[in-house]
Amino acid sequence: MTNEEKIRLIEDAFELKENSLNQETPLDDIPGYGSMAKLTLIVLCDDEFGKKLTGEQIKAFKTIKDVIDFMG
Amino acid sequence: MVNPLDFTGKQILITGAAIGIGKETAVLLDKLGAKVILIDKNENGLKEITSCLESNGHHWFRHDLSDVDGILPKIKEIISICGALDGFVHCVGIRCRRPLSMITPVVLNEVISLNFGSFVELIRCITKKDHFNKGLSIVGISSVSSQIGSAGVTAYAASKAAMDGAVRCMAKELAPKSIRLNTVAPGQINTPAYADLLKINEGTEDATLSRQYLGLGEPIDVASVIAFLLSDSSRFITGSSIPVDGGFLSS
Amino acid sequence: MINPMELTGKQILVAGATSETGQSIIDQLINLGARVVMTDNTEEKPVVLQKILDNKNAVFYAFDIYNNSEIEPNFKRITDKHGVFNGFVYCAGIGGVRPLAQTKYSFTSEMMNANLYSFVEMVRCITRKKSFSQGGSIVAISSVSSIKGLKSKTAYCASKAAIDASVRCMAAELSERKIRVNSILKGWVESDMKNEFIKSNMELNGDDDLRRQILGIIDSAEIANTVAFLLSDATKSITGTSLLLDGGYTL
Repeated sequence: MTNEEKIRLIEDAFELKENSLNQETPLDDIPGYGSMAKLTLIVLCDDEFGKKLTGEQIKAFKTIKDVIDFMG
Repeated sequence: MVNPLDFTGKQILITGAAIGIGKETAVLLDKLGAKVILIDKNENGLKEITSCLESNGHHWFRHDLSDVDGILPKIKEIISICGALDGFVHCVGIRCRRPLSMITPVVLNEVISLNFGSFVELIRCITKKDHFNKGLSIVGISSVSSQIGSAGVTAYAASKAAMDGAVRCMAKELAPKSIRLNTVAPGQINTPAYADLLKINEGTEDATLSRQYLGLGEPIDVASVIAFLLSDSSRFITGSSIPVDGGFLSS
Repeated sequence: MINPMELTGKQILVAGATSETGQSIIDQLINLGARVVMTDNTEEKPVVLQKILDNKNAVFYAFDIYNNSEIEPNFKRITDKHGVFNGFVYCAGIGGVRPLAQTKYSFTSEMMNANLYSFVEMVRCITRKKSFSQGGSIVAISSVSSIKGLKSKTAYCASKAAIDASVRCMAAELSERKIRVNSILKGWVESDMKNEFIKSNMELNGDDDLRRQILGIIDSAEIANTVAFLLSDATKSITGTSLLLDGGYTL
């Protein structure tokens, strides 16, 4: 999956318009970015990429790029 | 005079509207000014009930809700035609009276997937962005069986309890989106399903009815409470189950 | 000295043996003099169970306990070999944390299958007249999730509410044979902290939820004692209930 496709997946999970996010977008800029949103990313990484992201790890992520890099 | 149950301009989705409580709910909401969107697998039933409604502007869609995977495309179709929802009432469900020894996984799954599985999936789809208006209220038809054990209804009771458990969680999770969820828990109500039960029991007094000291309920009794829960009058009620049981649970 | 919780002469079947809770339960049942037959869906036996299996009073059967069509033949094999059972404990099941938007039906289905369908099918099979004694006792491990709403646990909470409703109905239906059916609503247990999704969710929410459990975290030995209590003759008149073991969580 390309990085662009991964960003589209994230936008879809948060019901955001296409191209509203890019790699540099700070995660805190995602509307309502709290513990539920972080859990959404954890489940997304597991469902789509089989990667287990922990609560501790995600707290250290700052931008969309950090999430995409983790997805592998 | 103010009418707290004025649903003018509101659009309410109702499943299982062809008979019983669902039908009575559609009739009542129509009288209260709502536009209703009806889903059932029984197309003739849908046409019949829509033709009984007093005003125009209602819609019906045929869908067998036991096809849970087909719910998302159906909801997308409905929203594209009708627009966003203000309310959702889930009246579809199957009864199941069987001894435990005959409740196989296949039977259990049939009851759970229709009574509960379709409920959660419908809500998951309806609460996607742009599918609902702020203040959306959702009501599921549970049952006193969800809380009280009796013989022969393991599958049915489990499906209703699952609905209540899910409502407690979804109410908490969807509150930030100004969405409320509740269930009503009817006792014995005078519906076609009850008529079938009488035939099976063949004259022996139904155990529930003897504890239900206000006697047999009518569909309008349940529909009235549903209407209240759909309205802004109940804006502070969420995550709960309201008994409409003629005193059964307390006696 | 008398021991009201003594289980000598009783044969107990435990499903979900290899979980930490399962191991604690089996260990205590053996200590109280029971003969234990255990099942789980893995050939790998943790160290605790290996030690127990050296004991002539214990035997292990591996099969896919969540594959409903495997339950009947395997239970027949077990009861043909070992005769009548006096108790059955279900401590199998799966957990899962997931926002509603990502709770697709496939996830909900899997949860209901492991936490409800397998239990119902096992009870249906083990309670055949020649396999389960008059006055026997059945215990399901449920959770406070059955009665409380938690964000991102719609499917899990629904499945636990469903298993408790089924327990109440089974209690009513099996009462003629004096068979008792109960569940335990456990709060946060130490072994939960080893589940990666639960741990992540805790990390994200701060330990607010854990703080509600004012008596602190529960260890599996406490669950084992409560199970043994419900299996013993000390609780001959307790049936159809869900016993809270929650360190004050639901207060």
